[in-house]
Amino acid sequence: MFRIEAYVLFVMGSFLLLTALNIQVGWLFFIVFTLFAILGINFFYPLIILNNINIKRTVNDAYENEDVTISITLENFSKSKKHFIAVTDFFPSTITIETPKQVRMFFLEIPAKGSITRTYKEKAARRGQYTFQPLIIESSAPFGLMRCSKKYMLPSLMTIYPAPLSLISLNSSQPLTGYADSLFFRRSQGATDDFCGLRSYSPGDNLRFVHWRTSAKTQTLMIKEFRLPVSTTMTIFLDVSSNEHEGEGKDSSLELGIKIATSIIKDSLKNGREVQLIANDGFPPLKATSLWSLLSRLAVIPHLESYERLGSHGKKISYGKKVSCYKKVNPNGHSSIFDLIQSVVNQKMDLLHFVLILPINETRPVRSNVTLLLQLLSRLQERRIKVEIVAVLSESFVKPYHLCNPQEQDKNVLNTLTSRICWVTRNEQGVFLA
Amino acid sequence: MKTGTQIKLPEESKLLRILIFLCTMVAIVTLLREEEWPSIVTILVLPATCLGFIVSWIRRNKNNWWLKLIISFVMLIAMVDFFKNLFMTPYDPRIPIANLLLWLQVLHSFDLPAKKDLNYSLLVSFVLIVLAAVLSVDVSYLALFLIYIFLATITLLYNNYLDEIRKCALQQEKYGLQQEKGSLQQEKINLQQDFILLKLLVRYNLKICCIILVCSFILFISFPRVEGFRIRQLPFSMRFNFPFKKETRIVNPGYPMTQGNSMNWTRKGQLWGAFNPNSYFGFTPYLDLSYRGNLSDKIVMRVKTTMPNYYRGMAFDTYNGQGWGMSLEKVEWISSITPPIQVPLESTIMPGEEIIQTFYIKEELPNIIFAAYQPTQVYFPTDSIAQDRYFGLRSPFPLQDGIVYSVVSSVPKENIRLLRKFVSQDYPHEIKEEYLSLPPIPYRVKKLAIDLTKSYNTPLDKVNAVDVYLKNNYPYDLNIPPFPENRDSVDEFLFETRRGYCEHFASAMAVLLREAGIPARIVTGFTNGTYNPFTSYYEIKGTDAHAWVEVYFSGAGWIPFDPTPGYSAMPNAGNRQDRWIAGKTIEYFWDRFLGFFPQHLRIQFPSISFLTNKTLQLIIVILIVLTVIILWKQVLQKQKDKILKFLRNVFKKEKTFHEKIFNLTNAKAVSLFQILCKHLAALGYPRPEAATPYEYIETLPNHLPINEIKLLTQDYVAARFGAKELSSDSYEAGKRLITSLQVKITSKKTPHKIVQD
Repeated sequence: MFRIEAYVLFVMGSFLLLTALNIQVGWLFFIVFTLFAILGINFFYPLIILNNINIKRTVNDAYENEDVTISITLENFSKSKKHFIAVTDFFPSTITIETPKQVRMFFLEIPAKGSITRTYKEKAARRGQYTFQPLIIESSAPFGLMRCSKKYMLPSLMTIYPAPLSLISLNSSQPLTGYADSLFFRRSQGATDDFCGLRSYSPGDNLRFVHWRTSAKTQTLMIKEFRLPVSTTMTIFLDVSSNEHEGEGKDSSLELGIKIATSIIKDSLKNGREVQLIANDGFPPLKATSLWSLLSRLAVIPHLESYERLGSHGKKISYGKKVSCYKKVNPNGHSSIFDLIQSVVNQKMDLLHFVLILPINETRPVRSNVTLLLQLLSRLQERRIKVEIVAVLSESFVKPYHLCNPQEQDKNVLNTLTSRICWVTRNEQGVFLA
Repeated sequence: MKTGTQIKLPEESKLLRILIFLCTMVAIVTLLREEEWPSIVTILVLPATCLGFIVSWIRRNKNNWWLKLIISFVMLIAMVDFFKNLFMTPYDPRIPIANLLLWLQVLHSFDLPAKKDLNYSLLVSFVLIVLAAVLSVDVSYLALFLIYIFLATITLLYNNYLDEIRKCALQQEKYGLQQEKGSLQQEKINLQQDFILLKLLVRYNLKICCIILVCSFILFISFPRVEGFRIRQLPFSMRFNFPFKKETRIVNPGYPMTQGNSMNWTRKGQLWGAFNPNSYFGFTPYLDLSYRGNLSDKIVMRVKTTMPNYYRGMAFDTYNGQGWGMSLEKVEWISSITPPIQVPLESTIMPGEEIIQTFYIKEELPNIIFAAYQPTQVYFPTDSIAQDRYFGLRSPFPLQDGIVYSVVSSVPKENIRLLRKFVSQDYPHEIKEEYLSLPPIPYRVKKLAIDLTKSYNTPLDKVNAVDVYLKNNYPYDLNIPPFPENRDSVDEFLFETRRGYCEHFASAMAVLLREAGIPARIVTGFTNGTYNPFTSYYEIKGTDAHAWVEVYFSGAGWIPFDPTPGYSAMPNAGNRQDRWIAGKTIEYFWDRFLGFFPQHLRIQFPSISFLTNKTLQLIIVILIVLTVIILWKQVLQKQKDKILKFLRNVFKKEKTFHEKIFNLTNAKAVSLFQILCKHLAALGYPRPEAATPYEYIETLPNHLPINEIKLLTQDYVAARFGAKELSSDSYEAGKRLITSLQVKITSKKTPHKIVQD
């Protein structure tokens, strides 16, 4: 790409050449050819400069709101020095709609068979996994009359982990070893040597475990129960695609939920517990003891903006409008968190305790989370599974009326099975327990 | 109100200002040096520019409206001065333009707040350098030009560097990015750091400058100097103090005896004193053939001409046995208040070609206006000049260093075929009387003249015969013994010494021709000199002083002939400037190299004049280009893989020849059909010339796969004339057909075994 100065010089050189031919002045020919030589060198030199050069980019992962350090290394393989090289890196935008930020670096001289590294820092505004765009390396050597550029496709992936919240501390994150308190025991249909008691028959129980003698005595079907080892894995259910989520960007209830999950994960791992993270975003559950793999899993959860937004009447709405009062529909049609919990509970017999992080928005009239939650809790009550609920509230942090003032049949559920409901909300002052 | 983008930010880099200031100063000095301006201007321009740069640095943040007003006012004055000068010297606008640009540069230097203004200043300095190149007459310009190029390229480098770091800084500011400390972008530009940077840039620039100069030199000698529109530039001196008294006689400062002496040239012996190596004895009223000595090789003048030629000074008509003189030295004054001075022409019917010459006198010379014969217009720094009866021009004063004059001449195109038509030897009476007369000549000279010319009928053939005889039988020698007193010089040269220099050859030819009845006279002047490819001037040295002969052809007038060995017989023929200058450039450098040796040693070195041969020059250019390629071999080898990869990509697709070359949509069909015809011809069924494709297939026998051939023909016709693309199925079917025919051809060629029962 030639700059305007190059065209000016070319026109001037052509004019001088014509003049030289007309008036036959030797020095004028020499000047003209010097001018053309300057232009020619400016044409070829950048191509030579950009040859035999390699570029590397190193990206350090970071937590949200922390600085990411990116290092750019230019390696010169040739036997001569390289001069006037500019590198433009495109820092991925951490705010969805903005274009990527350009970072320009200038290398005046790179020694022969040597390398130079430059670093820059950028604040990681939002969790996520970002791919860097191709890096552009340019040279306008030596006089800046022509600019030559090359694109380098460097596979750089940057993960911004969600930042943890220090407010959350749950009982469930404490370590569990072997058999614990009876409250935490699961009396299940699994047959072990450790018989622990009887209970009345529930629909779906296996008839193989009916204690016929007692049943005959009591005239009701009684089922044998056995002690089972309680799983020490910390299971976290995270509702990511619920219609209940609201807010925008970093302030959305989803982001708050993810931060809470981060805190719990960190806390659990600190206490030596394995963590299983299950979210209804279409990805399989992840069971790990590595903090970074779990945080990476949280980082890739799609932002709320990526969901299609539908108005209350099912009409699509465009970006830019205030969306807090609109539905956000999971585009992939993933199952709701309650269905997911049900299926996991059915499969995993040893799951007696888990944490559920979900948004609760009382203002939703139809099939709100509260209704569904109460239904779920009712079912889990029968299985004696303990749930710790972290309810992410809307900005108005109004506690749902149904949960705070439960009806008679719900009171029982809430009092017996749920050890705790942790209300978390966010307002202008920050995040706090409501 | 100005918006943010319109406001010019002041340039804070001192180094950039210093570099541009240096460029400007070098450009001004170069121009002033070439222009030889009056000292007052030199004194004013340089300090004014310095002051301007200082003022513009101090006041870079100010509005400076009053300064701009003053600059505009002074610029108006400079413009008025420019038009005045242009009006005064309409034949050479270079000086007024240079003057104007110089003042423009000076005034502009007072108002250079922003980088853009500084860049303009650099551009104006380049224009000054270009103007200096136009005015330059010698190679000393090269030294200043090299300094300028070095400074200018450093300035461009630094400018580029500033642009780059500012761009980085701007993006940092825009996006609020942080870069690590120690990076160049973070560093505040100050002068001390600038000078550290400058060291680095100087080292880098040395390499770049060398490449630039090598490239420009190769281009310079490789590029043919084709002629353009031949814009007329007719400079002549205006600032010369002329002596009051007009000289009518020949005054040669190298031979002071000529001054105040009567024209008593019949006296024998060395009339004008001892031989002066700095002055040619042929520019005196009497050409004494007994002078011996070598002339100095100092440059006496430079000539800019549209066509190289002999520059005639004087003519001699009377031979006395020992030398040549002028029978009448009477001159006529020609005057003109405004240039040019129109010179009366000798009548001729020979077609003439206009050539323009400008003479830059470097050494003191006689009061002779040298010019190619015949001059028609003279641009001379006087309002009157003299013309002698031999159409030689005289200046009112001896020519001095610094005098510039221009002459427009009409040079007869010496067409031999045309000259051969002038067979008449019936010359006018006055010509016969003056140019055929000879003193008593030894018999053997007369006999030789008759022997040489008797078998030829036309004057041209006779002249050629004498010329060939002299060139073939007499070597050129400057170191010959003096002729004995009272002996005829021509006779001595022809029969005794049998060697001599140009005056002897010319005298011998003139005498022999006169003896053969052809009017002839001796002419002295300068040959065309050595071409300087850098200045495009012909450099004429003292050794280029020469004598030759002018022969009178009845109807055609006086035509020059040069009998001296090593010179063309007809000086004006084929003298057109060569377009290729590679050989001339090498010859010029060789000449400069020989200049380091004493004159007697130079003869030991071989001559390289053969390099001016066009074919050889082309070979030189090719060799230079090849050398460059070999030098870049390393680079090319490194790029080999990439080039091969590129070529592979180009030929990766299975393209037919037509596709590759013509990029035709119907190429495949055309190609297939052509191969089909070729194969059928090989099988013994060639396509008749006038047959259409359909007519052709009708003639084919049934044992061939007629249906397939018909299908391919249909596809071909559809593709060729209906612009329909050949489908891949048809293409494959066609290929199968071609293969089957190929098999048939192979089997046909293989001899069958005859099996006997």
